[in-house]
Amino acid sequence: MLNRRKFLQTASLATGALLTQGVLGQEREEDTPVNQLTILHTNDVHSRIDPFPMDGGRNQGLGGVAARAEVIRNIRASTEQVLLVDAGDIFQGTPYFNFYKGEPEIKAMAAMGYEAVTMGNHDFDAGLENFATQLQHANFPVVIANYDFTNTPMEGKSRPYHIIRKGRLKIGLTGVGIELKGLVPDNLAGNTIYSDPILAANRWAAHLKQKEDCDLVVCLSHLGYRYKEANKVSDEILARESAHIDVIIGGHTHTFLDAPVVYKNKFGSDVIVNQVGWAGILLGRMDFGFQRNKKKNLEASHRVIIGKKTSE
Amino acid sequence: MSMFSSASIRIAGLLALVSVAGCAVSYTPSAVQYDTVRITAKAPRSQDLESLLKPYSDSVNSNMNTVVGILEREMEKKMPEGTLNNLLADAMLAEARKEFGADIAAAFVNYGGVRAAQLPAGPLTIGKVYEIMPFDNLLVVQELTGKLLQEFLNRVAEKGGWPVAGVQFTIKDKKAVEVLVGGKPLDPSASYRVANSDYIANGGDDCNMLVNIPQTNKGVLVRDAFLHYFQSITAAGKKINAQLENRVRYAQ
Repeated sequence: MLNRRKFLQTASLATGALLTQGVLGQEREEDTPVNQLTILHTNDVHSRIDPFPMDGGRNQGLGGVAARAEVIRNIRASTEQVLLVDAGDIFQGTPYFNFYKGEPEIKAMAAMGYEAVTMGNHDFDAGLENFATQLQHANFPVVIANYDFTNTPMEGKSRPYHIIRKGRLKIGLTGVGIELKGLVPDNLAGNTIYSDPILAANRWAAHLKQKEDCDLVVCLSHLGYRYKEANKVSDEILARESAHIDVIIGGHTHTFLDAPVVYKNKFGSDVIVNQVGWAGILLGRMDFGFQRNKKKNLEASHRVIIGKKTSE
Repeated sequence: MSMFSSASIRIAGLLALVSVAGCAVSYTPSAVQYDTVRITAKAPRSQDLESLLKPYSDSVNSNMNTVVGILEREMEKKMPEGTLNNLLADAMLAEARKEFGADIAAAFVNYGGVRAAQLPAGPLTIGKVYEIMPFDNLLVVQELTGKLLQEFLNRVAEKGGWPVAGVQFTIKDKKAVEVLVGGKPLDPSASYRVANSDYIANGGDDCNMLVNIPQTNKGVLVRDAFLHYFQSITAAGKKINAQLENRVRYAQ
């Protein structure tokens, strides 16, 4: 509690400093963050149900869903508005997947209260029919805007966007997946049609911001953080070419970012990109503060002040 | 007429109210504080999750102890040739032929990808096979010209000799010489279908000569290919074995 109050103070100071435009005191009060959202996120958990074995390896003892579940439960107990999401590659990497094809992974995520996921390339590994079958254990949607699953077992089992309300906040989610060709065997991808993730993400982000009046647009992405090949689409490129996305929660490249990275979108507004390695070694946490909009002016660029959360 | 316009006014008023209400709930993210929570060995665990997962854990652990076959004798990983090398390359070739056809000429396993130095004689468990091959690499097939196959074998020779099946050669001055494919001298202008892991076919372990060659795969992991091979030997009532056959040797 103390920690949250401190966060609100810090955030309001920062916002106040930004918006010193000789406004009336009353208006200044309206500019302070009036609401908060804690996003918790994972990516590329790769069937890591148990912690890494105690075999002297670099990651020994780390991760494991039972420990992660407890961390999530504790954060939910002390924080009002929490959103828990995953950026794909739930499947493949431990014998659990070989034996159960993702059933314990999806059941555990449902029990932990995941609220949305996108699809990674390895989620095709036991076939699309299997992925669709395992979703019977899910109580959260698969959000992906650039895979067309018409005439596949996944038809009607994903959605291009999803809206979640947290208190007074309206959160819009979309999702994008990586090019399948060369990565996912043709016989596993089946009739799935991949399309340009930037076009798809921008289309639904605009819908979420402009038509649905969402306060925050989150894009779950399995594109990968960034690549040496300059024109290979990545979260970095998506962020710069995006218009209405506020946050990109990434995966695929197993990137351990020291801190979320801030990019400027097409209109000069801040886009936050984050990714937390793989295997559930880390749980990402971002506590967002919001300011109330005086009038609807979504095209105007805005900044997001970013800082490391002070320890509990 | 008058009724119509008053209704319109009422609707317009409602719309105005709705849009005012809409504006009133509009927020913009202004600050973010981040944290990365490390899930450590000492972290408390959720009892609910542990009990949800226990049946799966118990079963996976007992499955890992499932015996897939009996090893006739100890298999050893060694350069330029070892019994474990030959066993795994034989498994690659047999499964590649089963999946892709009898015309697969040769199969390879990268030495560094074999994660155990030896396998003891006796029962071989699934867990042991995971230990040898923890990676989720795919078995892929590429069609190489004899010239490119020679180039690839030169790299294998330079690295000291990997597990191979379907080919034989001598390592001389870090090159593959006296190369036989299916018992016949390598023909630089012929075309050979060969099996590798996607890791190697994608240029891993300095095999960049393979990067631009189209690959086909059937979604079969290298580890699963090993398991299928061992299971098929056991199903035929035999023990698992491989011999040293001078597949790869150093020049005298």
